[in-house]
Amino acid sequence: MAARASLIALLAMAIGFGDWVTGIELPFTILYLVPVALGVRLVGRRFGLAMAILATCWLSASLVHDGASTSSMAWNVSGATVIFLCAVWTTDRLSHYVEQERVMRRLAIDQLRHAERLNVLGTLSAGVAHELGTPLNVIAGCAELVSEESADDRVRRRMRTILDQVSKVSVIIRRLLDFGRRDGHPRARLDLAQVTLAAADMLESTARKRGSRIEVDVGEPVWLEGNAAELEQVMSNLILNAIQAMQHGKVSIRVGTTTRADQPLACVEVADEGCGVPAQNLPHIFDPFFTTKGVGEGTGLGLSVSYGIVRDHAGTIEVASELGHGSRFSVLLPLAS
Amino acid sequence: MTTSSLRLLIADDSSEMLSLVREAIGHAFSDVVEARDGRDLMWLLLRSELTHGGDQLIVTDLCMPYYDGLDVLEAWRELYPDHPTTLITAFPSADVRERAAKLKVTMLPKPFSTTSLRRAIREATDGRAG
Repeated sequence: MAARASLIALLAMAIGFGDWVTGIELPFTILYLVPVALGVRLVGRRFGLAMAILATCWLSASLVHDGASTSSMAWNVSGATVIFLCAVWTTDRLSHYVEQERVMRRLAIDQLRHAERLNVLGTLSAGVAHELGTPLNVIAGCAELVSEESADDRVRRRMRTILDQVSKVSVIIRRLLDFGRRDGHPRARLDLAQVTLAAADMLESTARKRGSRIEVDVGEPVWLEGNAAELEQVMSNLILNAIQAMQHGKVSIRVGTTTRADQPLACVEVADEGCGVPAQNLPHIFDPFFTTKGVGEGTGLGLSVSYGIVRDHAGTIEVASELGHGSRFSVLLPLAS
Repeated sequence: MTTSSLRLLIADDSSEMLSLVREAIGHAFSDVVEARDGRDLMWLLLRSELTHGGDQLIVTDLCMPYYDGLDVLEAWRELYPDHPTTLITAFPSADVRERAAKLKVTMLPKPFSTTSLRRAIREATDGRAG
């Protein structure tokens, strides 16, 4: 940055010197725009303004050197100053737009890459889950048949253990299928506020047990087309994650509407005051089996399933997190037409 | 289960699954026939048309080589609209659920217990067996 600033200042000085020596007015007034615009674009608005002042000084000095009259000098200097300031303003606005576009493009590319990766994982998960269905069914079925045919209590107890474990695996398979599936369950018009309230009510006692509380800010009903049970599962997952991320804190939930790219969307924000998600983990939080919870606290499928459901509803989940201060998950869904 | 007048036709590309279904419910039927893929199932159904007609229960997997279970059942329904059938699948998509509902086929998602298999068979044969 300092090297750029020095080069631009040197350029301005060279142009000023040329102006002083030759005394050609118009071409040099235009040439001064180069260090001014470069200063704004490459270093910053303040530096650009400094270049504009420097250019005005050189211009004035050159006019004095050429023996211009006072009135001619006043007109020339004020005209040039206006041109320089306009150049600063225009370049600054253009730089701002370019920067904004660049950030948006990077975000869009990141989101696309992320969605593509999760798509691949979804297909893989669905395939694995599907292939596991039959062997698991055979294990459970045989255990049941042995249990039915055996009079030995010890055998029956062991078969019961097999069946219990199979049903645990079945739950994981069901959730993997939920994450990987490409179709949705029946949809109906629903109020997202009511769905969120139902999930929050269900988890109220869980939060209390951990010394936390849930605050729900609900305004007008937010109507959309969706599957109430699935969306309630998404809200429950997000609220439960928020509860588990902290001790003695507050889960703040806000249901309303927002806009993205000028599109009105339904929005549910779930924020906690927990430990936050480290930046290196953020790109993986929706991956199946990715978890930072302790053994037995979670399978790492809750957020994956939530992502799958929201994606099936043509929506998205945004995450903002600050280490030591907490995380905010925003579920964005298309409003009912 | 009182389905002794019916023949049981099981179709699955897994031999273990065929054995399981046969052992779990086969004893309640007059006869048990097995198919290893969709083409086998179709062939057995066409052959049985003359001998058994609608007096049989079909228990078929969805995903099988050649033709899937639902394709065969759709073709078979043209001949026997009320034929008792149970469709087993590990991955009932919305499309499969819709097609199965249209055909009035009892769905049984994997993994299932023998108890739920027997319940599904009872549902499918309800009002037919004596």
